[in-house]
Amino acid sequence: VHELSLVEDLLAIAEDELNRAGVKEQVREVVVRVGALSGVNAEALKFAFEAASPRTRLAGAGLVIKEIRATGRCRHCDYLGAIDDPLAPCPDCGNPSLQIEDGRDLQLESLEVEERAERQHE
Amino acid sequence: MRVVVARDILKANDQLARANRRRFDDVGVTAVNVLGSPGCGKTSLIEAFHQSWPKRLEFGVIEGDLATSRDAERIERLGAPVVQINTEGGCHLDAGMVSKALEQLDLEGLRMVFIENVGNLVCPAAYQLGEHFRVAVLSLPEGDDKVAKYPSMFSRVDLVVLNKIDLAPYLAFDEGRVKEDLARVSPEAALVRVSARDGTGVERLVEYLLSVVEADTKE
Repeated sequence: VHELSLVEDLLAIAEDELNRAGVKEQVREVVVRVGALSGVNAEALKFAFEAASPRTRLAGAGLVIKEIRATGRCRHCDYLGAIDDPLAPCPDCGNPSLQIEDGRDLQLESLEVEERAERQHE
Repeated sequence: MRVVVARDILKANDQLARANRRRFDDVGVTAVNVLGSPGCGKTSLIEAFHQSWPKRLEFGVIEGDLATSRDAERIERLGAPVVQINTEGGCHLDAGMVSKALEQLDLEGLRMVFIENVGNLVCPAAYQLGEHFRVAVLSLPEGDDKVAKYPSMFSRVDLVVLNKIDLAPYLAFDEGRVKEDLARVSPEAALVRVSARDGTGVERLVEYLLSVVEADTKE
């Protein structure tokens, strides 16, 4: 989908969190959780990140994408577990009654910040 | 050093959407997000709807398109208040765009606002705008497999309007297939068959949305 605008939102959230934590350093690694049903394509997200992150504190940071499997709950037998296809019947009772429980989210999980340069004085 | 963030990237949009929702609630306006492919008949449906909608319950329209104000001009001809948003290439409306549009739309005296989204079955699904109600318009020429092929859209709607049913004799469109797929992805969603062109089913759609507006008033 619209990965570029999502990356712009991601950069804004990251900037906000870094300011809140009083961090001044560059970010070395960004960890993002991408749900299987979020509609976000990991390759497109990486490409958009490369394009939009220069001249921000996330410039040059590695983007780690954790793909989160979708889970569903069956309205019929209460099965709760991983699903591959939200349209498929329930793997337990076979009824076409799966409801998506998890896997739609796109979350900025954490930022790995470069260590302070204090050790240079040792 | 690791900074734990755990923030949803769409949250910023959700917060703005909640603010929009409060704005609608404060003045007793029911907001309806209208979604569907380009050319499925979203604007035509609003035009047809206008003829049968009770005059005492005025509605306004926010039109979302990549470019041009053609849709807004069509709504203007009906005499309904309208604001055009141009996304300049953007594939969906977001809550911030709607918030800006609301600065130009006088909600006073309105009972309902249609927000016509950018024609697209993918991206708009992920963005809350502050609406009370989501309608997906699916037209027969698009094919009967769209609910199954775009589950992220159709699993988050309250109502599906099957439009252009006057073309049914010319198309191999299996309505049963749509109902079956919809029962899987969105069992609570209602389905209304209409032709915006000849007016078939528009009365039922009006009745349906009147019941939504009334239920919304009681809450």
